[in-house]
Amino acid sequence: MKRKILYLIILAIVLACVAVIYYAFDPSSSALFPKCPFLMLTGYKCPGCGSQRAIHALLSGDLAAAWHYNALLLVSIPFIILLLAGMALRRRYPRFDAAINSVGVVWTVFVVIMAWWLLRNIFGW
Amino acid sequence: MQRYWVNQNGIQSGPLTIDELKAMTIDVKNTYVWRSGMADWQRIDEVPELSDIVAAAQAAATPVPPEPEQPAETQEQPEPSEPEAEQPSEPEEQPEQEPEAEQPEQEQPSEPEEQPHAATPPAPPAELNDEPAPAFQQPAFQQAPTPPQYASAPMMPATPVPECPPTNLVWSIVCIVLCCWIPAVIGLVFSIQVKSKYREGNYAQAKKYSDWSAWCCIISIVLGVVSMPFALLVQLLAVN
Repeated sequence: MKRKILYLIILAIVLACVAVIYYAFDPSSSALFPKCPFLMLTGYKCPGCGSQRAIHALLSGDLAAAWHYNALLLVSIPFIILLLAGMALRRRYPRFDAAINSVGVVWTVFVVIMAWWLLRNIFGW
Repeated sequence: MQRYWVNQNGIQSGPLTIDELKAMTIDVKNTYVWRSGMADWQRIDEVPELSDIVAAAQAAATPVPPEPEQPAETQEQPEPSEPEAEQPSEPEEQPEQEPEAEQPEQEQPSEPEEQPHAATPPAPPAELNDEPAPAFQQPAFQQAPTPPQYASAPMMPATPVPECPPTNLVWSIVCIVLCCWIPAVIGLVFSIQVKSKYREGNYAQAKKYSDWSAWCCIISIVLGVVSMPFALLVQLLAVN
């Protein structure tokens, strides 16, 4: 239990550092941020392309820009929080966790991601 | 004639014929059955051949919740049986789990009591094997005429259904959104399999797919981290 808390604290510190970096530097103008290898290799965008710029925009409070860079990221953040909450509270509310991990939900996520991947390459989102 | 073992609110009885089952008062949500040929215990409403019994029981339960009469068992075990129950121990939730209080809409997760005999862990781990039936079933079935040994071992696990292994959905999504490596997408496909296998009652397979999806996420993170310096190198070369 203590170890778990320690890990959580370390994780929080790391996340905070990353957040500061992404807030301070703009990935679209700095050469220090790695570009997506998939994009470099194939010329096609992957579902995560633009996430770094979107995170920078989010941290700067620019929702519209974040949406522009990677809409999927913006959409998935609340869902990820929900899933993490479900996981943390699994002991107490197993049904909630089971509901947000049900077959239908996972299928929907899969279809949405695939559609996003396809469409953004067709329309250049 | 098929005979069924019945576990109702942790109290086990059987073997019973279908007609004997019909005569019983059944609390559908807390009744599990097993017969020879079934891989594992299943809740009674998940067994297709017993659907009319379930329908009758539910019809009877709606107007006036009847007391589920335990067939000839004096021994009341306040152990709720629920498919997704976690093992330990939210003591504050226990008082609400009266076995005779029929709760058609059982909202709160029922958690089995902390077992006094901590040395004998409950069944779930055993069910991850491919064995046809959990270990504690086998002897019970072989000595068919005599009732199973719940009397001598009152702490027999009342939760024959193990909890679903994690789908790792979160990690797949995080990887796809951030690392963009294809293994995470494969992991997502495995996540789907986890739940469908679990639903079919194939717990060993569900566990396997759960592990695979976790591995996909790990591979995806490792690939993402490893590729980062290369991507940076290529970028720097392109700039110069």
